[in-house]
Amino acid sequence: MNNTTNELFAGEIKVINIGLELFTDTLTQQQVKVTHVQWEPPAQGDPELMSLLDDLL
Amino acid sequence: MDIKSKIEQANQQTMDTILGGRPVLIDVAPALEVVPGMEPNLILHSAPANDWEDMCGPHKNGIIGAALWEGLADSPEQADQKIRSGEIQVAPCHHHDSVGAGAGITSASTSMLVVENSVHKNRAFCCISEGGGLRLLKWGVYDEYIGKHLTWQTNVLGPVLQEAVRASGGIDIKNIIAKAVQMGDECHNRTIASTSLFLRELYGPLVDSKADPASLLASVKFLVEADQFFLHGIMAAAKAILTPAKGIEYSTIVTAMARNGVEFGIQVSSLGDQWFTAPANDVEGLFFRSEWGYEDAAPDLGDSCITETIGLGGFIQPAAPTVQQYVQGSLKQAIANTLEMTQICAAINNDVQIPAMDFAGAPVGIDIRKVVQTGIAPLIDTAITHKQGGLIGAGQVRAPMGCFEKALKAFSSLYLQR
Repeated sequence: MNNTTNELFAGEIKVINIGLELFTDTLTQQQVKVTHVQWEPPAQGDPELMSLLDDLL
Repeated sequence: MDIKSKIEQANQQTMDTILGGRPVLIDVAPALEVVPGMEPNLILHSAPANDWEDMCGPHKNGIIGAALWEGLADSPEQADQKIRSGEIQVAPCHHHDSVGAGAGITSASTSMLVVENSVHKNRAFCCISEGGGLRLLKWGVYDEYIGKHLTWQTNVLGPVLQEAVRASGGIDIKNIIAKAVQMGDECHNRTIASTSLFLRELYGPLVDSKADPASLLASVKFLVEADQFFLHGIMAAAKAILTPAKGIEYSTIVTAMARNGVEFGIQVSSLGDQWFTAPANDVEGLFFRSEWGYEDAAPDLGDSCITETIGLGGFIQPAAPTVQQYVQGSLKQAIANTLEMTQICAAINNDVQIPAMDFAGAPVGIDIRKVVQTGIAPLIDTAITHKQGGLIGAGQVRAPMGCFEKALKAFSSLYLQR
């Protein structure tokens, strides 16, 4: 088992966060650079509406 | 042609109709003379329709106030009884080609702005503004002082405006909106520039007015002090623009949004006059006195979001950075909000250019498919009304997603089975 720190965490971390803003807020509080991308599942994940949108849009 | 192509074609036609509309203020006259279907015993309110028992405080108080002002009842109790018996009728403004801000209270004697869409020759109506102040009939408040002011508007201001507007040969509201947006208005919560531009059109005819000097001076004094007077003209213009866009087969574009303090309703072009409703949201914003808070506020109220339906107000917040003070916002956030509205709209209105966004055109034409797909609800700038009547603040609110989901399902039921 490799116990060394992943190189990713050895230097400055730059994050792109997609979706939940909570992760962005938490990282920002820790002075981590974050670019937030607003995203949520189409039709808020409602299967019936998603099916209708497939037909209409 | 597949259904997606039919929808795109229909939406293009709808947007051509909306963007090509030319609203002109042509007259001011009592509602009984000009509003279709108006009756002496009919009182209009902001849409959608709901039962008397279910109405919010501002609606009940405003309708009873109008009944007293019109002499339809001698007391609030008698007005209540006559409304329940049907002797006094109530209906939404929208069902009579009209729109009303706040509680939207409009009765037979109310002086109305008459706006004609010169392209399609249809007309729409909105009451003249009562001016500034926290206690107005439009906010669901009535007392003797308010009654006297309404009577003055009917007997003095209305006729003065009528003569001036008729003498002007018609005032182009589309032109006023385009200029006002360059001057710091978003044309819903801020209409100071629009009002000034309107008055500039009116001063010439007022100078030539044959009204008696006292009436003329009192009218001019009122107009100069009423910062937001022309909001109602813009609302009537929006209704006049949107009415010809109704009834286009396969169109998924919203042709009306309105709130009655209980429910929020939308109409969709291809689905005609049917309202799709969901519970109205609470308005977030600034309360004008420290004694007022969210517990005092009625849910979202009024037909004034007809302005957002043509891509003004909350859709162009960066045009009026000062309005951001109501919501502790910023120009940066306002720009983000407009970019967000662009995602749910079918077109860009290059007649309404936002200076703070390098003169980008306004997003216009809410597509119910895009609202449901993105989960982005239309953003509306609006007033905050006390649950028992009275203006207590201003801010912004989102339309509830439920109306758009219901409309999309109704659209699918109608067209996917063909």
